Amino acid sequence: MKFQIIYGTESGNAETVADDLVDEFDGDVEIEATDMTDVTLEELDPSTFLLVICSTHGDGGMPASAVPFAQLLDDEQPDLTGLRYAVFGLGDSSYETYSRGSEHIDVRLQNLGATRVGDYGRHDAADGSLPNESALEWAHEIIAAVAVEVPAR
Amino acid sequence: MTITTTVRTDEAVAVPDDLTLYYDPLSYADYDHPYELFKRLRDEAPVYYNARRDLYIVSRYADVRAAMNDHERLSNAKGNDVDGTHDSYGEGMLVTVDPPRHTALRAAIRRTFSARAIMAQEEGVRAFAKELVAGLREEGGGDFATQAAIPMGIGMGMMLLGAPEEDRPVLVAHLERAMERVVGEYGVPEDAAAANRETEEILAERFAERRAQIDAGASTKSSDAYTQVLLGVHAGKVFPSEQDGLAHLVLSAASDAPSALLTNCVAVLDKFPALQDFLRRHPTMIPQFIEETLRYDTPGQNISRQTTAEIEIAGTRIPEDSRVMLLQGSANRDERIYPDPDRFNLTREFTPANRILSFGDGIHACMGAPFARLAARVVLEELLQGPDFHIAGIPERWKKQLVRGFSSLPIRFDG
Repeated sequence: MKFQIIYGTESGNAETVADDLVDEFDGDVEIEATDMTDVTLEELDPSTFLLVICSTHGDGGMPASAVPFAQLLDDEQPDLTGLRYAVFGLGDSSYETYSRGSEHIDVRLQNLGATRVGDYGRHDAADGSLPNESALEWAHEIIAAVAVEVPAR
Repeated sequence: MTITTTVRTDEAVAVPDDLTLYYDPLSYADYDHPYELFKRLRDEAPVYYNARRDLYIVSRYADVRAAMNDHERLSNAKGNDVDGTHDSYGEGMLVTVDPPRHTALRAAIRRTFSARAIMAQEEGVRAFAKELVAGLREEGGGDFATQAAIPMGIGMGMMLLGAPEEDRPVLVAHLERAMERVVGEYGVPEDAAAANRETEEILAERFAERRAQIDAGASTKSSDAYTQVLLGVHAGKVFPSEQDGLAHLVLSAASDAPSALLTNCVAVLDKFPALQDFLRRHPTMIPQFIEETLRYDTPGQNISRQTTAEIEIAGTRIPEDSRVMLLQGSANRDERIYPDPDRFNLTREFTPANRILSFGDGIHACMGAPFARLAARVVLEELLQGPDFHIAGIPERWKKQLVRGFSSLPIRFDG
């Protein structure tokens, strides 16, 4: 099972999370990270497991780098049946729209037939902490569960 | 004609209500005491037109914030300033571009400004702050601007870039030349423009060196801007012609406004000296002090935009292709948002709804805001470990209209 991280970022924090996940798991599993801006529909293949890392911008909006990806999904309406993914959202609970940025991507993937698995990871920046460590914990659980699965024949 | 203390208007003369309603961001009046002018604008002309500068000026919080988020109709193509500053900067200068180039260039330096990269700078900032403050203390005082705030601002820019220590003196000298203006006059002196070009020549040399190191196998894991911009060029996201201007923005944005912020903090501590002991005893209140200082005396007083269509703000129609100035310094004093705005209030509450506009909003919001807050906190923590201080002598303000802060700020330590 190949793991494909796609990250949506505004200030670089989701990007450093993606960097860390690649550093942590590279060698143990096949894993790579792509900015959502650069994701193509060919990469959304059921043979890969998608790790979605996405921040929130402003009042519950998507970060700049997620916007072209959302637009691509909206325009092309690809059939994502069989694609599985997990989500880790970044946000700040001093906003009423806490962590909503990633949800814009989650709802699109679900509506196109993909299946979300595992815990919906979230990090709250309101206390000034970094998301990197809690994202690593989240990813360890997801990857451990998915990587041991017997490949479908 | 008699001499009398009783004066009264000659009823035969019609005096217009707006006779003394005037605002020019390049004027001495603005340089000296802007805030009383801003209040009149907010109350009497929330979108004020200055015919001499052919400039529309927006002064209320809600209008400024909405305009910052209207990047399609309010373009950055002519830069942030109104005095021609950006003409001497190279291509790739982030504040002079609109999407899609803006999106790509900003993405290229995201890692440099990520929270983790900025938090990793704290140790270096603290070591440098200790050294600068010790230098002042040894002599019983000195010029806080030239001996602490400006070197720290340049130092912050160098940390972000990944610049070698030896570049510091020449970059400091360039900043001081680049900020020179004539108050009351439009335009950038030739030597200031030359200083900007010379800075980009240095940046180009450092890029070439870094590139040679990477080509020879050096790691590209570092988040410094030289490395990240080169990765962006390699990936085809940044055009080679844009790299020097982009790095120049990182350097200058880290330098002038943050050093102004540091001087404004010291000026507030001189104005309300009881704050010094209070913050020394309650250092957890320093971030609150910095936030209120950013509001009370905003280092970046304004940013300007160019209309791409006719727009209406606060009932005023602004034609297409007009220059529009958004007065952050006024928005931050808007009584519609901040009760008793002219009072320095250490307990003022800031939420997403009323947050200060000192760092802008929308797609061009300042990427360096977390670093500015971090560095200001560290410098104040170090400064307040010593005795109280006061301003001793006449400070000088930066003459460039956009930046409010001091180019010279003599202080003495007590006792």
